[in-house]
Amino acid sequence: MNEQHFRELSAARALHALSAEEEQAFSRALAEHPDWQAVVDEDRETAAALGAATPEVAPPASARATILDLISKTQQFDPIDPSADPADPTSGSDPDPALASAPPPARGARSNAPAGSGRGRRRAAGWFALAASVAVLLTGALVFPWGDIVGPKDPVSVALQQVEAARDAQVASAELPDGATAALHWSTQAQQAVFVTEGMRGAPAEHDYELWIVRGDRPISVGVMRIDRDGSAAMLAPGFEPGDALAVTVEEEGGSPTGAPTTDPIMVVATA
Amino acid sequence: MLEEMVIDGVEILEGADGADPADDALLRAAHGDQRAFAELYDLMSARVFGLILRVVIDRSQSEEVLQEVFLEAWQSAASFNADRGRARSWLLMIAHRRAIDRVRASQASRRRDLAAGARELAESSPGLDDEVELLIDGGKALTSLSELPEPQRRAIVLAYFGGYSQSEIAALLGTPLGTIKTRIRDGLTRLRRELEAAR
Repeated sequence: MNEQHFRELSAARALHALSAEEEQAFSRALAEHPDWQAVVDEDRETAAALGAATPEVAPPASARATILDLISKTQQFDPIDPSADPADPTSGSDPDPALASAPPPARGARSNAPAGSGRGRRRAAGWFALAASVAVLLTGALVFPWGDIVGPKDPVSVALQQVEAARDAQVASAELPDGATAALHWSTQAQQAVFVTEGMRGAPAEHDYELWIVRGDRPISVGVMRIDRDGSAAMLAPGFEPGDALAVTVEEEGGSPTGAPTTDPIMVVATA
Repeated sequence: MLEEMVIDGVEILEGADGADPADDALLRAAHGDQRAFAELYDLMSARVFGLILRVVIDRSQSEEVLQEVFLEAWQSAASFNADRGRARSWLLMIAHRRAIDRVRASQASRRRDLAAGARELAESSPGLDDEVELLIDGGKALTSLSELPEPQRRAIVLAYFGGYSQSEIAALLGTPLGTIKTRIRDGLTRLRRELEAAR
């Protein structure tokens, strides 16, 4: 990665606008070029200035007592060796799940994961053969109920509408034995691809589903896929090219720590 | 020396030596000093809550996020490195990430609500242009932002205050992803230059 590309990642990262895949690319690049840390620090300060531009609003007085009471009962993490993680000054800041009493899961955990390890690559080689064996391919006419059910400024909705409007709109779908379905809607003209599932159960406890674009035998993470209470999910699949397959695996919470799938896919949609 | 300065609701600027009292409070809190942490809270809570509220909008959810932010700040205070930036930037970074996480988590349920037939909600919500305007109005204090070229400002506002990822912004604006990345990079560089000039 050249410095210009890294600077783009660093800027978007300071705004928390990176995909999981970009986040991993960022961490790898910074590990290789520790001298680029200055760019990251600078961007973070600039982003904080944006945040500081919002008007101050005093929180309710009761919040102070609640928080001070909470911290008096909460152990701090041990001081971290500053050289342990040069990649990310905030990476140590996601609470240890064992200690955190606050409900939301930590999401920064994967940001400093060493991706593309040898083990992960070896695993990936045989991976798509397995993936293909569970794929059910159905490419056909397009039915589009989706445009109406999502909000007008929802990016997934906008993308689906763009696909719908394109002359080269296509859909490929797959069905699992338990009745869950998945479909990829895409258009080369519109440069959009959207992955939609229905009838899925939520991921097992302390796990997440992760969506992958599989090109040849190389899986590329699209990101963690969260299932609604009604069993559906819709996600953009940026970077999709016709011929790629889309696959879903079960990974630890927050996504695969290695950047490569650690389990075999439970669902695959092939487009070739 | 700082204790007597910390009074609820009183604007505290810099210490006599030009140091930011928030840096000092966080460094002491990192050693388990709960009183120093209370100082940090008093210095920063209105600033942090203002940012969370701007991103999350919903007030009761914002209060939950505020609690998460300060809990995380307490637990991970030792990871703050004063050589790499200010305590207030460190704290605002945590607040922003937590707020964005909250917005993204509720996106799924918003779609579900719409699917359930709350169509009028969708129709009455502001269009994208209105939304960008609303978001920018909230950031008036930072004149540098309004001096950015419109496309750069729009991309940065949608990312930072709207909580959209780069690929989502590309989809929303119907603009190639590469263009959005360039706008965000160039916009942030320009912002930094203006901030430095204003110093």
